[in-house]
Amino acid sequence: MAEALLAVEELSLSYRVEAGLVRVLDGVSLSIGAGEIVGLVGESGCGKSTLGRAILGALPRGGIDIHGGSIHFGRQDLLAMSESDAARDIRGRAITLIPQDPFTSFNPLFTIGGQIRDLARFKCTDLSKPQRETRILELLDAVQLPQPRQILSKYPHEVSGGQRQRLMIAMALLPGPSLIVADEPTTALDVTIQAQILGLLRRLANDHGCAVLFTTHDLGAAYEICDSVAVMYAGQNAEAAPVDVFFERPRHPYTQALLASLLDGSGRLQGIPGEVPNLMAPPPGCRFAPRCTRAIDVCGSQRPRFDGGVGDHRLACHNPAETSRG
Amino acid sequence: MAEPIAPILEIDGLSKIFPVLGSFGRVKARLHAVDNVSFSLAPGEVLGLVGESGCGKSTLGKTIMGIHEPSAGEVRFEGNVIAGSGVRRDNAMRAKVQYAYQDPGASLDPRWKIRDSLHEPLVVHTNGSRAMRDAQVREIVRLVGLPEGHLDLYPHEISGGQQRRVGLARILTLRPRVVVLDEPTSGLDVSVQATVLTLFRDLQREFNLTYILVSHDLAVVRTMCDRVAVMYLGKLVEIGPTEAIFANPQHPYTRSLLAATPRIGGKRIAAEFTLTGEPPDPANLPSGCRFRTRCLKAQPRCSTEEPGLMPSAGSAAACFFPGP
Repeated sequence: MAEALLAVEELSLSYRVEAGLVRVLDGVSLSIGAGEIVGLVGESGCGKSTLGRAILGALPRGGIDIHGGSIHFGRQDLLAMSESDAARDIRGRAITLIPQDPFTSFNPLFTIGGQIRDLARFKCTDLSKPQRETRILELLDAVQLPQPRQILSKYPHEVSGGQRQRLMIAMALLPGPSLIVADEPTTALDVTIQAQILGLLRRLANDHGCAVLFTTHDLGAAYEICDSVAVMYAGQNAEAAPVDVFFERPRHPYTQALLASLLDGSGRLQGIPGEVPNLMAPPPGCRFAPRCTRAIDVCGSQRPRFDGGVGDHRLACHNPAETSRG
Repeated sequence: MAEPIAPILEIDGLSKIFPVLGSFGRVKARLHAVDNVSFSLAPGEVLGLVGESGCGKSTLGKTIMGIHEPSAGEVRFEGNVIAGSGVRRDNAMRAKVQYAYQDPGASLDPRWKIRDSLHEPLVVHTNGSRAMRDAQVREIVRLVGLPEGHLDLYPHEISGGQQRRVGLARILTLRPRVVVLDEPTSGLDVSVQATVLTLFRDLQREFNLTYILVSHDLAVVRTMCDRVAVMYLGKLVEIGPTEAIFANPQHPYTRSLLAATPRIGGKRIAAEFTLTGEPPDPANLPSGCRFRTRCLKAQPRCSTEEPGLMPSAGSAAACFFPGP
């Protein structure tokens, strides 16, 4: 694996609410190599979006307690940096975002061109105005938008969802980032458009040498484009592995149960009994233990360290399965 | 399936056209949300209705249910016309065909206890005493797998999955024969999805239900349905038994739809997916076959003539050049 471009180490944070603390992330680690596409998967409420936001520095101001951990981008610790340094050099430039909802991410009152040119003016300060214009048109061409000049003069409601998501990808690439956080970028799209967008994302990330953190609840989409996959459960790491290992030889009971609950066309229906724990009072130890078929005594008291497994295959489990799913 | 079984539901030449209004309420265009769709359902059958957003699958479901009045064509339930121009269905008929909304949680009144929400349909449709209604409510709650204690809770106090069960219980108290399930698993996590689908299966057996399952999720349709109908821009483009459609899709659109679905362990499709562009504006349709603007097999004939459903290798497809 390439040297880590981004390394999240043991990050723990909580949301403060009236009734107490919601422990959204509990000692989460994640590493992304340069140019690598990493899938961050898990079910709703597992903390994958919060982790993406923490990396982007886009968590709500106030109401957040960071209990420990670090987010290193290259050599810089994003959590230790001052807000203004991070905002100037990294966020929105070296790390950019493709949001989930292409429908609400544009201002409906301004033309698409106006909004992209504004962004270019702030983020590509080293380019002259004509150079910026060239770069915008190059990128619109790269995301395969038909008639880029006409699109620039349109308003957001005049283009389709798929085209808006293409525009979002172009805007994310505009400052020449080395990492894009793509937060469920295809969830709002139809399956044929999803296939187009996934293909595009994969190709452009390769062409621009840009790493992607791809958060999704859709394991199929992660299988399509990721180099490696990390799965989270209720704010904790469960397993992380290169994509083929992840899908062929998962060892964490949660990963195995998750893959088994996918519909395979045989008519078999298998879910995961029980419910996701309340994160205001999470179970001590492994948060999956109450639903786990392989749980042993220690699981209820001690959080498993995220260091099991071999090489690139990491897992946090006291009693992992030895071989493939079963 | 033996031939002589009479269909429980027949959809015959059904169309729903919405006017697109411009300034001063003038009709600017006419949007053919559902265009001349026909099929029938055998009792106890599960039919999947698939297609992408805007293809008219929900409008079709709602027109069958009677939420929209059809612009043309009719719907017959056990031989009686229940929807057509000028047809008013009586309450007894309404109870027989029910519609399960995409998000049943949102269709519960937040200020009503679950008990009151479950009593309401019985108050409207039956004239039993309060005690009789209460007995029915208790029974239905047991059948959908909710603890009786939940009757005195408000919708926000129970989980999303439980809200779904309440929504189903509300529909099933009236003992319907046909239920239209609109995107019943959208927004659910995969680990919960199986539980909800199992519930649908159990209830189908328990109540001898016929389902129309509207979904964009092909995996769900494949798991649950006996037959599949594929829609594109208001038209039925292919209909046939589930195995036939998935093993050997005949319409090029069905093929694209199947090819676009990621299959874990299989070949990655994103790099070589060939269907380009997006569906055209439904208020301004292409001539001839609606799919021809995106179809790799399109020939001159496709722009002048509109193909109807024709039998092809186990299913029926609306295409002049079906097959691989």
